[in-house]
Amino acid sequence: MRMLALRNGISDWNRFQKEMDELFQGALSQAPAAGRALLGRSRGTTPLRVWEDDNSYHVEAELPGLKLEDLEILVHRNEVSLSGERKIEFGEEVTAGRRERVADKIERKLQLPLELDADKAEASLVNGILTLTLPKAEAAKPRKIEVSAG
Amino acid sequence: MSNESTSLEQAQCQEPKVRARSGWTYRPDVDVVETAEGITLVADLPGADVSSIDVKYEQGTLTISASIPLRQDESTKYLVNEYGVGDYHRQFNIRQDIDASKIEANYVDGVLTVRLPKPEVAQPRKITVKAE
Repeated sequence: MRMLALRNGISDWNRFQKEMDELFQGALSQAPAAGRALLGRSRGTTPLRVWEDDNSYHVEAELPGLKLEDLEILVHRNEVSLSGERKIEFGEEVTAGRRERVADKIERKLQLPLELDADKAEASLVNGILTLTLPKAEAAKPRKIEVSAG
Repeated sequence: MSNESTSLEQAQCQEPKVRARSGWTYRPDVDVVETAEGITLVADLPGADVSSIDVKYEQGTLTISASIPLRQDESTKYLVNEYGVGDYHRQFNIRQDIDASKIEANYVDGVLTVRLPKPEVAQPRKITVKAE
């Protein structure tokens, strides 16, 4: 699998190239949503990272501004689904502004190669990072069969 | 990878890089709103820690940066890897009067909020004329 950083990153070699945003200068830049989306991370699906060890699959997502209770996480057989909504609210007294953060619907379904032990699945959401630990079902794990002589 | 879009910035992501921390620096998504009281800036900085976030205001320039540690071992083989993890950096020129001594910042659930209040306008005062 090719690994790509999908977000609007700048790589290390030009990190000191200062990027300056001019705020509130002349006509307020109401960044057009479509234009922003081209530069920003891909919208519409929630980007994930998934990796595994012998016992579990691990799923990670960046969900700033969300709490665990804002999410519904379902584990069934070998499938895990994530859903929820990120709301962004500013008071009515706002006179001007520019918005890049998107009130996203979080919706993602993922099929893993092996069946999961849903009862032992764990989720945490700390500083906007969701981490799921999804143990592989005992029955699904590859088994080493001892061959005994005699 | 179906929603991938091409842009100059993304093209740069694929350049060879030097490994220091993750080696990437990202430009966080930021909302900036103005109210009668001042300017509020809200930045998505998932994965940061309060102690690793640096907010600086100097001569009209607000700088937000955060160093983000790797969350997985560098040798991790991902089954799915749809985003990059790295430091955050962004600068803003604030072209308005700000009371620098009253700037406040807080970080909750991966979201940094910086409030830059306008200087308090001198209150209109009524001067009483006394008779001698």
